[in-house]
Amino acid sequence: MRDGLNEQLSALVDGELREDEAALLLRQLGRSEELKARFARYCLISDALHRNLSVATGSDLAARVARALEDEPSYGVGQHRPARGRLLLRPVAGMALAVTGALAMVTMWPQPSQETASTRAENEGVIAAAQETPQQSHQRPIEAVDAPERAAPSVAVETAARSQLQWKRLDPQLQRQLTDYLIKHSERSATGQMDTALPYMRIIGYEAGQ
Amino acid sequence: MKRANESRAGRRFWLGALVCWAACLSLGTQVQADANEGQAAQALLQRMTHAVRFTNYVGVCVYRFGDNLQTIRIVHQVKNGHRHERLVSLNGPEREIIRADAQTTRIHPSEHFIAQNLALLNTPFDTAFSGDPARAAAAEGFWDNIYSLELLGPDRVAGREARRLNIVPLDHFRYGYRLWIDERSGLLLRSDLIDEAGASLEQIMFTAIETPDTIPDQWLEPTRSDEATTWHRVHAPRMQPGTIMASAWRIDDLPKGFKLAFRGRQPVQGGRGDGFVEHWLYSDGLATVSVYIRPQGKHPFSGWSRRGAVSTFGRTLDDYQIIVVGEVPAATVRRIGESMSVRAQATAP
Repeated sequence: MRDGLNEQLSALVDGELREDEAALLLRQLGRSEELKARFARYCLISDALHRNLSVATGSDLAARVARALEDEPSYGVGQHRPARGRLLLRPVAGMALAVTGALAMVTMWPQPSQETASTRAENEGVIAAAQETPQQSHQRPIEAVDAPERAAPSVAVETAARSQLQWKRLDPQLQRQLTDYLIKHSERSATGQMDTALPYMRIIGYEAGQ
Repeated sequence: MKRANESRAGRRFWLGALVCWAACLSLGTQVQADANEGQAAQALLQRMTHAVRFTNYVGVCVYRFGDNLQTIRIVHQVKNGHRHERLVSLNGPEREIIRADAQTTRIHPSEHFIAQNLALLNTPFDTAFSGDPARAAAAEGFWDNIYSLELLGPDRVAGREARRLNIVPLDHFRYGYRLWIDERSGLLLRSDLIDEAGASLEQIMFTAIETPDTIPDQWLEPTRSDEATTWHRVHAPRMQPGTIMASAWRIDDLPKGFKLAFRGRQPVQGGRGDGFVEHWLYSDGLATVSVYIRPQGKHPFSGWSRRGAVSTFGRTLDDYQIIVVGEVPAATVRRIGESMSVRAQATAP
């Protein structure tokens, strides 16, 4: 149950959740502080993975994002509810704006508008794996690597968990295709990685988990 | 009065000199200790790379990434200067890998499928540990500019005493390693791949290991060899390590330390008739990144993904699909993928 909820949150962050599911989830978000905090962390992780903001910036940043979300009136409990037709669109846009604003505020970085993967999939007919736009510059300032002792375990663990959820959401055919590339890469580079059996174990792991 | 002042000034002078001398001595001792630790760490790593190449061993290993856990039996034989290795999965679907030097044979017994492939890279740290003075100078740069080593205290793995060694990346374009190295044999007993947040992305760990003097050839034979069954075989493409074919593509923004080790063409999708792909292979001496370029298919991939230690980035450009794969952070594969373009005055392959 909890995994399903996490998966939905992950999909919401990536803009890959169906509208009806998104509306339901956003209502739950408005009622649960824990869920709201988790959503904030997922947004942070998503941004970290996409833009290489180090996830090691820790729980403090996540907490600040969560606080920013709390302050956002759109999500306060007991707010005047908009018309049903607008219910689907406005919370998503509002949430995206709040998170974008909060992240821009805490990172001091300019935040270009993001085209969601689902939109791009519709427009270009591609199987999009994640929220990622070519317009996002990779030359954006990048944080230095933090020492392991500065890492926030909860964020790190959730990062790994989110990567898994994201992989599970990929189209099965695309999963097979990518797994084939992973295997080919591991075979080709096997003698270059300490020359141990590790690359071969990866191959077995990827094949078995397929 | 004047003599008393002179005396005080003299005492201050000598006190200052003593403090400076003590500080220099302390600093010098610290520098020497750091240098010694660095040399000890390199020596330990060198011992491990030698041991994994030249030691017979048999063991059971666990491999974990995400929520996937595999138990694998490993047999490693060194005979007449050649390495033979066999890995068998002990849980989940039957999977087997037979390695003979650089050639890998993947066997799926229940699916009657066999695929061969060839590794293309030189052994890692060859540059660092070759003994050649020129290469040794380059090795200094390797440890200073790309990774650093940390020697840690003892531990136990698989009932054996182990030394711990950290390989720490000096930028955010590669992962780090935590290694547990057997005191007795020098073999790698446990390895954790560490991301930029200090989290473990994947782990391998021996739960039992032995190092017999000889290993019978029979231990390296596949479990099933039912000749009556027709096996689907995919043979290794003929490629030579170090091949650098010409390409119509270019990469403009390669992270520091990565060097092109191979550029050629190879079959995709297990070679089951899905055509060829252009393959570029980069290495920084430890981490590796592959770039695949092929005509855009029915299911283009755009964006990023990560599975265990391996990050993947995909984009389409001029009706071609570019896929970058490597056991490196997502930022590395994305940076490489986004900086790819078609060379001027050239058409895509």
